[in-house]
Amino acid sequence: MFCKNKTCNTIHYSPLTIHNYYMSDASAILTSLHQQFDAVTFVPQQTVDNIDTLWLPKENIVAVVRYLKNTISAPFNLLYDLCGIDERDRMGKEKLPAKDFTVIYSLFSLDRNKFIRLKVALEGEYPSIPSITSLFKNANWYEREVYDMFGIKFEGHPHLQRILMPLTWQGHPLRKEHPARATEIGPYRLINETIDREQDALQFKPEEWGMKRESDDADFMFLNIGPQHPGTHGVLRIVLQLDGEDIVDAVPEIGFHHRGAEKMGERQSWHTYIPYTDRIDYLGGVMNNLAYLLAVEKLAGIEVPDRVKVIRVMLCELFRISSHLVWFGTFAQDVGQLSPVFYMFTDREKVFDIIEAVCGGRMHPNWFRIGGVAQDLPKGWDGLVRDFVKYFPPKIKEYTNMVIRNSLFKGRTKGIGVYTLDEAIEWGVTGPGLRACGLDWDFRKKQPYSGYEMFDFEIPTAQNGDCFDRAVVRVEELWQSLRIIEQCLNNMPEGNYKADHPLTTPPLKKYTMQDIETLITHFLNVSWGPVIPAGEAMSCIEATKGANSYYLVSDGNTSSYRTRIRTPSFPHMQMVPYVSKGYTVADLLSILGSVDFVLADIDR
Amino acid sequence: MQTLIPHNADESRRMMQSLTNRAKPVDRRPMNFVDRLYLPAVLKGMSITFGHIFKKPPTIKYPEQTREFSPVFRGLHVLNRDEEGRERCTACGLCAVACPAEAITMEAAEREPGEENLYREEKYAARYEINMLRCIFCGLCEEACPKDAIYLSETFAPSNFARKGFIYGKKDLLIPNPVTQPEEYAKAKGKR
Repeated sequence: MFCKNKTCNTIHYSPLTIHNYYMSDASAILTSLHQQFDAVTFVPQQTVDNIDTLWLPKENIVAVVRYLKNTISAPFNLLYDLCGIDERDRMGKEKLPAKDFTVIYSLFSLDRNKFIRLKVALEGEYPSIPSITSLFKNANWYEREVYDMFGIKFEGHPHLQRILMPLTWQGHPLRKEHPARATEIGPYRLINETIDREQDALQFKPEEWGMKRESDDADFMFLNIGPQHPGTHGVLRIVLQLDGEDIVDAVPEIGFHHRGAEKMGERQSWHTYIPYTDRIDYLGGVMNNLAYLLAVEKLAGIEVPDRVKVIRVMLCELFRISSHLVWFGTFAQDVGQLSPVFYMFTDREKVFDIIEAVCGGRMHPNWFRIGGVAQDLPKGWDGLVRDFVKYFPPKIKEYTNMVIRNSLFKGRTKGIGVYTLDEAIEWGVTGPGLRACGLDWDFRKKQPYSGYEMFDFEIPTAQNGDCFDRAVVRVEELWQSLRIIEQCLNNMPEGNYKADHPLTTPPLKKYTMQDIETLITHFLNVSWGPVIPAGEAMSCIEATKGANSYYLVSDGNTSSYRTRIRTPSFPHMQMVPYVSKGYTVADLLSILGSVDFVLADIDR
Repeated sequence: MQTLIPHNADESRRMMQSLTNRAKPVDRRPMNFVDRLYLPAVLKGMSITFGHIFKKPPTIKYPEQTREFSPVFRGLHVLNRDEEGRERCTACGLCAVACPAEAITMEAAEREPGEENLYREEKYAARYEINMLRCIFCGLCEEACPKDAIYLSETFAPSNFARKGFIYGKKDLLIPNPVTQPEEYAKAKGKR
């Protein structure tokens, strides 16, 4: 492996590492990178999540990414995430090549089933770095987000403009000097001048986006859909450039639902951040908890008991069903069927009855904890789940007959919003949208987490990648989720609902009323929360809408130094203009419905 | 473990698809002539909707009827008393620091001689307020409380005309005294 002396670039092989698959694969990449770029200093970093992490100079980032994407066999062809870190306050950063800011590229290789993380250290107050938008289509929005949040400029970006914050915003929120809460800024006053300024900023100017106002024979019409529109499923604004009824181009405007979830992660303790994760993909419920906690547990080195794993899987799959039911009903409504949504919401209530009996909450369960779950399953949970497992199959059949087999539905969705597998990968599509292109990619199978390897289920795939295929894949996923739930029900292991580890939360308070020692520990654990060891870890789960990740950086404190949330809806929304070009306005609503996004998941 | 690295895009596509035999292709039959008539589909849809008229309605007549909540439901907070009717809260402030939304404020006071029948501990909360508009009903206060003095009940936050009305004080939160008002106490306690 690498020499311990960081300035030394030689790779020192040991016979042991060559036989180790992961190591040999990693060093194979490193070797080829060194051969290709012999003048470049790559500094590896050991992270808790065992993802190969390399620091490299900013001059080489474009060439290295191009090499990893285009030249090597089994390329890293999916830009999974791109984010920044303000390193200026980080404790213990001397041990790393970090400077003032870091830009992190997470690439994923579907062939290798491996991530690689490239880090570039940047110096200065408002540094700049070359853009990789020429290499990855979906780098565009990610780079805009980093610019918006940190003020880091990307040279060569086609339209570097704020994406989540209003255009009139002062400062860059994720910089450490930016206030984290409204009370630090002072009271907000909405005076007439402010209203005018904000209104002006929202005015859409086609020239800014390189759009023409007229073609050779006709004037284009610019149609504003949203932010309040039933078809946008949330506060999303899409400006359409129309030639008659045909979409020439579209510009989605997001950020109306931005609540600064990543910034809050830097202020809340590791424990009190859990309720905030509920609200990222608010249809996914505990699945957000899981993505966050898997990363925290990696950092803390907590291994959870089997019972916890199975409970978590069961709850996640119930939420997958509930989320898919919302999508199913609203999608049917988008294409003109008004009744299904009522039936499906009724069934969703049946799921929520179980969720409520177990968690105490419905859409915001806040039920998973560091190292386990909040409390054990209630008495009689198995009866509730068994009733549902019996109740639901005829319903799925009924809905399939009612919606999927309906010829009007087929007419509205078949051949609409088509993208190929290569395009899907290029735009960073994961989840059912990727599986509808014929690739059976599911992180539950490929990189099992939380015990998914113990379950027997199939990955539904379709071939054409149109709206209809995305729909049938999700419907088939309902069956598979039900299968998993049934297996949880029949094989729930006995055991503890929480790991036996000092960093689990909340502390058990059985003895607090009798014993002062445990009371003191309880006070410390609740007021400060657990102190998670310094390190970096990323989790990756198959959420309801695609791959969801939390990349957490701890500098050994009571709250995270940086919380990066990679959500599936963000790249999916970025792709909408690309897939909707040439279709009509009515088709756009089919496309939006079939993408299945949640605005809170896009904006965070 | 042997690594399999494909050499070109076609090969990689084939390998990716054959990584598991678990993939399940979905049903996508082409539309036939009857499908393309569309009218039968419309009628069929109408008949399904019509059929639901004769089914048991899943809704309830709120507010005359209310649905049951589970015993763990996280609704409005209750400040608890012990079996002798004394307030359990000792104003330690743990619920306030555990609260992610910072919805809880309190002021502590020392128990005077003669107040032993009112307060369980030597220190108690003279003022205890929860801002129900800030509260996210996550239940972390209940988990934090070392004295079992606060818990979330099975009731909803009622509506109000003014924002001020959502700042709940002790008189709104305290459970009725089990000694002097046993019936109200039993009702407020619910199934818990």
